Amino acid sequence: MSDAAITQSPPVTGEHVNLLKVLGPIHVWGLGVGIVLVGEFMGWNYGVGKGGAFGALISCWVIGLLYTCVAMIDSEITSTVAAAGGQYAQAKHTIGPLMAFNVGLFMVLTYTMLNASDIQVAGQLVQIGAQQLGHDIPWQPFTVLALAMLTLLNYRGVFATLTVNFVITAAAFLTIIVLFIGVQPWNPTAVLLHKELLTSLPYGWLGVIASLHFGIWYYLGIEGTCQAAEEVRSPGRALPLGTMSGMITLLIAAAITWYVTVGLLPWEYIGWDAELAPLYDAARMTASPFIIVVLFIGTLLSAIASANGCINDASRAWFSMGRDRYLPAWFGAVHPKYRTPYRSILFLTPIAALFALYIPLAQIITFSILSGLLNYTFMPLNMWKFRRKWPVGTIRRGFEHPFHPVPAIVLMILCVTTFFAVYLGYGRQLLAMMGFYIIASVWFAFYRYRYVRRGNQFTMPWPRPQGY
Amino acid sequence: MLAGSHLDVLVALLAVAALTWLYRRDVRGDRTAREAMFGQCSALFDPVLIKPRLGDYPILVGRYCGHDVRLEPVSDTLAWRKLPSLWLKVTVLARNPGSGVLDVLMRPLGTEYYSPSADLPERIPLPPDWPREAILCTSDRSTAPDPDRLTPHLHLFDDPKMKELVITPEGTRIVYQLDQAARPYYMVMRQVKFARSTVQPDLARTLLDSVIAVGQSMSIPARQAA
Repeated sequence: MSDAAITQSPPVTGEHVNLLKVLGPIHVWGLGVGIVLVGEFMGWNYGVGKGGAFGALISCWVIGLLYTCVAMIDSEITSTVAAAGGQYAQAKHTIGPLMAFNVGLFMVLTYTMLNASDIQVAGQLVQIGAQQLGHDIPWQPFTVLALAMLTLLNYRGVFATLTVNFVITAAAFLTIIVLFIGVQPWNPTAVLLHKELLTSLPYGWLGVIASLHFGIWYYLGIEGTCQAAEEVRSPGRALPLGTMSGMITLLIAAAITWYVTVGLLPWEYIGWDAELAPLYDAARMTASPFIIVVLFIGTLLSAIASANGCINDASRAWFSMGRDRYLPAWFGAVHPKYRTPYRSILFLTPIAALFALYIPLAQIITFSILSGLLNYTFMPLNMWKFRRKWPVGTIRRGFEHPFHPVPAIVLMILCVTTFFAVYLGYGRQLLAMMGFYIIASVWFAFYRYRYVRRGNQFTMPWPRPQGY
Repeated sequence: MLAGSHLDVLVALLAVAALTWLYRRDVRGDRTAREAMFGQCSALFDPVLIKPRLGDYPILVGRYCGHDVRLEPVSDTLAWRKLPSLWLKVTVLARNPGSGVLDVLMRPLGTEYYSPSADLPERIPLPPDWPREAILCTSDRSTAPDPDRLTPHLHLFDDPKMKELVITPEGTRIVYQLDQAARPYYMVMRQVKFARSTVQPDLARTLLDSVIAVGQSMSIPARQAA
């Protein structure tokens, strides 16, 4: 568990203050899956369209392995690079500003596109729910409303004080359990129809590879659970245990999601591009009003929670890049009253809105996945250089991930394979993203770099790297 | 019996009413907690004035042991992939010799908007026995206080909650971490919850005494300091 016990270092008075936090439901929920869980409610189903039901299941577990490697590497980074910013800060120290600029850009686009997909789903879900009640309404206003409200909350910052009752928000995870129980898994043919609905791999093993693309969606954002503390390092095992606990929770949720959905809906429908909320549609197949309402609420809440986290994280990343002068310093401004990165928030909001209103969900998700995938691809390279420049024992590490370089190698292989998977279905989007990042990198290297304060890039109290 | 559509509207209205009640209850609770920030330590000061700030923590200005002081809480949610912190800026308003600014910032992230360090043009190499996680900046080395005068006070940075020490012509300030956001709430909804939002008298006294001691070191003539 991430924060089972927190012991404060002695304050200036010399007194010891030990604070043992009592574990409550929020601590379980706060395993970090809060903003990631939306991937169970929507988006993963497009992998079924690529590789069939079993293809999606295989991709779920293979990508789970990818993210296990990400979690292990990211835990070492966050617990060692005391400067906040995760891979962004590490890239500054191990490779340089251009790498850090790209990592920052990867993260901003990952979260902004994820935000766009969340609010599109939220809006369309309201439309679907209204149609169930006999009202035909457009979804776009609700998408814009959700984005506007969340943007306002983030603009106002910590003092906006829209505290959400966590008994309600915890339902977003419990709804999956409710659905699982509702379909009576102990009585296989009572509700679930796996025998009738499951087929062999419709596109063979090439389809399985293609479905790796959307397997990412189950877990995208888990690296955001590594939140550093102010003191030099968190307690040794807290971060990796917290992250791995989140991974296990997501794996269980993904397995349940898959098991229930493919037992209630044919794979052709699940994988259909216009299928927005597979778990909710699975709930509708039960014809139980209670389960339908619960899943409606769960899907909506998980989407809203995820969108909120994305606005927060994307704006902080953009703000940090402004402060570092990787971007115009104008973005590094802080609101004088609310103490928020208001310019970054306002700049990214229209981008999310445009994508949410005009781009199909599968393509928005693909853009988000591609940016995240690029970040994961550079993680092995960064970790390799990190361990070479500062081997174990030369600097203090809060957590050393085991079996290096195996996780880095596995991560690289899986990332390359997943890029191929994206190419199979979304080659144009892949090329467009690559072109965008190349152009951005050229802009940074040949124009923006002159503004960067090079002396401020390296802030860690580490010895000179090996070989230098 | 209510028609279906009327029932939907009624349920929606009840939900909105419930959420509104929850929101207003939480706003009141948060405001009350913020206003109580200096409730326990205000007796240390005479006179004392607690200035409320709409939607923010109050500021305390007063007189402590013959010095004009200012205590200002600052919430910092801007660092990326880092739990938010509640900082306490403890300032003693007593003139220091020289016209320059000297700033010691621990674990710099580049997002410390409450710190003048980003705007200070000169960076001084850290002396050998200084904490390695610090950066030392100044406005002008020729007019700023000599960093060696801070050597007797380096033990302050043994506390990981100590963030910054600033010496300006107008006064001396330290920035100390009062609290850090609870991890689960921040991870789920990026919600910032500080468990400890009051300044205890012992802490206030210790921090103020430390700042006064640093300021007095700046005022000692150079020969005496050596």
